[in-house]
Amino acid sequence: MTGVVTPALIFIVFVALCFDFVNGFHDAANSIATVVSTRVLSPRLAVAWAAFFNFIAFLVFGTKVASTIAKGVVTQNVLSESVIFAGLLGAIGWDLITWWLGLPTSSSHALVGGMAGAAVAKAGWSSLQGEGLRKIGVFIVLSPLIGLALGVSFMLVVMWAFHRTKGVATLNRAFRRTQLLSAAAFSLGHGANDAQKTMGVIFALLIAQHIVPASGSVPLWVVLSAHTAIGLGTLAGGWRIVKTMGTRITHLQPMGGMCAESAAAATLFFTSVQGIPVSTTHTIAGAIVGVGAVRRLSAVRWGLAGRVVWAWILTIPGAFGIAWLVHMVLRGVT
Amino acid sequence: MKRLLSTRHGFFAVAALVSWATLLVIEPEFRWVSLATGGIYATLSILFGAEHLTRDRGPRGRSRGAGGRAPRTHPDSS
Repeated sequence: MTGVVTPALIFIVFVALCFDFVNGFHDAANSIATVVSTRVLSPRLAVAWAAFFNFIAFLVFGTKVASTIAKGVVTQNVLSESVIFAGLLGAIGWDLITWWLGLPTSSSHALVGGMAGAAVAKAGWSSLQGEGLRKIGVFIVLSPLIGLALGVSFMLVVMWAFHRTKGVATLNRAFRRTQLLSAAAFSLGHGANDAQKTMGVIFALLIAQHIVPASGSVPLWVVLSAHTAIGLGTLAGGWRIVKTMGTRITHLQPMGGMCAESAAAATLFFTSVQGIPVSTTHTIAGAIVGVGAVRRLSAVRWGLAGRVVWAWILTIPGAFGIAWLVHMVLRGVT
Repeated sequence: MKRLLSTRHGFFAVAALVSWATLLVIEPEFRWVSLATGGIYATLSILFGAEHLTRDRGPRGRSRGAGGRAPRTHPDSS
């Protein structure tokens, strides 16, 4: 390999790791909100618990999601520093706009849309990988549906298994403890799927700069830095968001929380092993809706669900548009 | 549509159709995922539909716990 490490490359790797840090900061609430709201752990302990499992995910799962992001979204010959930088800015820009509008969007989908937009700005529509984008697109719809189906199924199985138990308080106490395991499993899945997206971006950059061959695997320093960034992000700021999330979903009791987290974790394990990048936020949202639907459908906040659907529809085109614009500006400047 | 989605059997039937609709575009190696997810929803739709029918046609008030027995509660029904 003849590639050279340039200051621009180091800067883009830094921006990618910042994206990962913010992801951990923001999504920590998903995995530990129920543990905090049911007072199994204090916010600080819960965040440390989630950060630990975010970090060790690289020991359990491979790097197939990273490969999908690096090689399955745009063709290899289009990848360059400007494409990846514009793609990252597109994703970050879209995340900031939707955060300001209060739309629950997925950073993962924004990243895919951003990469695609920048590649199209550089080399036209033929630069997109149809197969990879189709797989990602189908699982945007399927992952919350799988989470929801598993959430309902787990809840029904647990309710059936304990339907003769009289002491509701005893049962809730037991499920408070099992929530530690389900939250750990969800954090593991979150670390595996989301950290790998950043790994994929850095991997794509290294391939573009001929530092790593396209047929090679993700370097260990990339794996470790991505997991460190997401773990530190969780540790740094998650507990503030957890307080809000925890109060928003207090209607979930320990049993429901355990079922929702286990369902989402199972979905994330499956997609991570298969190399499919999915939204962890949408997966846990689907699982929570599933658990709520067992009780009654009116327990589900359909207004929020509708906003999630709009976010699905708009995220990829939104990030695509911003990245396309950023790349056009960069091309005009250089 | 809103009325259909407001019942559990209707909601799960729509979810089954959406899951199976992804068969049109999904890669062959993941077809089983769409089939299995749709299958779970179809089963849930049938089960909740049957529960809905028996509740509506059963002895008046029995399923609502008015027959001298308190309705069963579970830890997540608060």
